[in-house]
Amino acid sequence: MSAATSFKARLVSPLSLGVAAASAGLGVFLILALLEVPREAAGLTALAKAAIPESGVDHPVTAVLLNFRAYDTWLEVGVLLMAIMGMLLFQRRSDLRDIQLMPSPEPVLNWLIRLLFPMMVVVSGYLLWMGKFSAGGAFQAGVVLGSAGVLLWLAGHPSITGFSGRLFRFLLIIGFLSFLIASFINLYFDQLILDFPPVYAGTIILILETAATLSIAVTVAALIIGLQPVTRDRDRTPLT
Amino acid sequence: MTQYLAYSMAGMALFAIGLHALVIIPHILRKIIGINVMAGGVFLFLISVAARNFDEFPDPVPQAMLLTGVVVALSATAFAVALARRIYTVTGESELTEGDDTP
Repeated sequence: MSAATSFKARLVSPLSLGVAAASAGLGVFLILALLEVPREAAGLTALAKAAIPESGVDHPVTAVLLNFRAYDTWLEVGVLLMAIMGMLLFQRRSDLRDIQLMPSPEPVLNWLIRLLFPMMVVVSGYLLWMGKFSAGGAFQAGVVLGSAGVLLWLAGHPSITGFSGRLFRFLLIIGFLSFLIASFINLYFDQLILDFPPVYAGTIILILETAATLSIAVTVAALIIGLQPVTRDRDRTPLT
Repeated sequence: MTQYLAYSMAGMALFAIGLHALVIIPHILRKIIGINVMAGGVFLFLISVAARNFDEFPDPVPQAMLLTGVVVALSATAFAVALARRIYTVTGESELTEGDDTP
């Protein structure tokens, strides 16, 4: 308990009180700054609304995400790639093949997964398709698909740990790669990077989103599964 | 149209609370949670700012930033946990102690 008491003692030391005061001060300062912000400022709503017909999709958020600010989305898919690369580096591995839990003997869990997994895949596909006209899109679909992968893995199925190293790495980069290819095609036709002609915009966005969904799903699942310490076949950890 | 202020202020308060936790708590995992509370504050701020100019739909730009931000925060957290795990396996410590820079 000495650690806890020393922590409590440190909580009331002058330094900690200073930190608390500074944090509270920052909070108050931020709130005061917030009051200065115009409450009905003309944001980008009108601009976005005017440009939606050229974007190839009907939903404003998807239009911003995959067309007007596709560069941001591209780099954010890149951030995901960096995160998983860093993680694999720490684990000193290039795939997740030997991370496997013992198959669960629970009949209820197995039944539930047989029920839930196909539904999650279908919901993910629908979320992806829905991005065209409503709230949905690559990120939501990818996270649902990724969590389906984690669920499958938790029950002792291979899930993404069953992929060969090459397939696993290909799925990790496919999102980033598709944006890169789209940019090169733009450059080839003397257009600006990621500036899609309105005629093809809908199709291009759907392809980009599908690739991004696969990448996000595998990345998210790998980030969670990869936290598991390495286990060999003979001492697989049972699920408790 | 001032109800966005309540949400934004709550976001700022969350940011300050998270920052305090990040600085004051020595345990690495709790620091990561502190960063996530800060991120939550920023997300709350962004999404409430989107409601500020409402013309048929709320401002889509902050919404899009938020959407990607959540996924990036998730992956950054997983990466941070992997780092914390590495620190634990190498040093056997899960806390950052003061004045102990020598390995």
